[in-house]
Amino acid sequence: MLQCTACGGKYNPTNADGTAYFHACPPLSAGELQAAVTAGKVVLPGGETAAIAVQQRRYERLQARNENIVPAADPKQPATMKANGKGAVDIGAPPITDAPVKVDV
Amino acid sequence: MPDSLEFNTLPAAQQIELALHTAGAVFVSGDTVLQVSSWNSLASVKLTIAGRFRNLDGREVPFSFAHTPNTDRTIKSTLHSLGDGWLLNVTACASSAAPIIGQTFVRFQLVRGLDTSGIVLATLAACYVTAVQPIAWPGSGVRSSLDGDGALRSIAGTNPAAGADISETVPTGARWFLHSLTATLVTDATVATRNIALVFDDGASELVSAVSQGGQAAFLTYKWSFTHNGAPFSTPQLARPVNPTTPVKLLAGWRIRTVNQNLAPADDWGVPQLLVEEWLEGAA
Repeated sequence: MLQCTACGGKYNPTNADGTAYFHACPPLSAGELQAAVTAGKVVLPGGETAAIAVQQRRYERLQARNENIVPAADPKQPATMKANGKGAVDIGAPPITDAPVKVDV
Repeated sequence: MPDSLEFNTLPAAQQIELALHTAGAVFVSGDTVLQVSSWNSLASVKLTIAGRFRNLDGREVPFSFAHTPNTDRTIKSTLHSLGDGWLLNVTACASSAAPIIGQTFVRFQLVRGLDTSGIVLATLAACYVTAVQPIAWPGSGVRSSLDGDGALRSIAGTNPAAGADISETVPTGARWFLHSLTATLVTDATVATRNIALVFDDGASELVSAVSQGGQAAFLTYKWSFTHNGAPFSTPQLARPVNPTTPVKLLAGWRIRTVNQNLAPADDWGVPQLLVEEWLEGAA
């Protein structure tokens, strides 16, 4: 399992059906935007709250990761990732949280 | 499959006899080759291409070779010389892994030239294949990868960090129809009602937003579902609110995401589970 260094999201690079999973960072949530406003990293239009702002427009992370690919112009060349962003780190096997619980009754 | 004979040099009677025995076949000369193109999303898929070819001396020659598609939905093309004669038939099916309809698309073409700048002379067949449903020329016809049902897929998305919303992007080379999205939201002590909107955007502009009729207060755990035939709720039943969303197809790069105007810093979405129908866009 990987953890995105830009957004903190955790994901498995391979889906259960054997297809590749391509992570892309979400836009800032209302809470994340408010934190950025408080830190002076972004200024909202006059009178607008973070809760309203995220409904009016998107606030993207400066170094967002987008693992989706851009096919090469030459089909013999490998495709490239759209944006590496801050990268991702391997955090080991995913926790099994939704597996069936077997009960001997 | 080199052959020293040339059709035009054969006696007329032999030309006629060969033509009669190859009705429905397509004549190819040495500079015309079979191009196999594939688009695929599944790991470990290999295709076995097989067929029959009749040489100018009248011999029927079977042929078979392997083709390994890419796994990222990009095109993989390979060229195969046949020689001079008649292509009687060609077929392909998945000989490893177990793709379902919607995951592996194959196209047969006749091309003049042995590089990627070759001229396409004919498209013989194009369709999805599985281990038991082959593509065949003659027979299959030329179909679009967007025809018919797509591949039903259950996808575990990104588990957002606490305080972040859900966002899933349609992968490059895919077209999705979202049947449902389910995810658990745990709210912290912040006193506010979390109304959830499920938003589709094209990566830049918002296309549609379906906002929940009811919300989730502090210190609760709800399992939210969004489905295009769901009814709006005002009171969550068993903490499992269901909300309607819009039945639209989504192109590569478009996003499915939640927008929660009151999401608190310690509110935590779990892993979103998506049920999507997927077509391979690149082969359209």
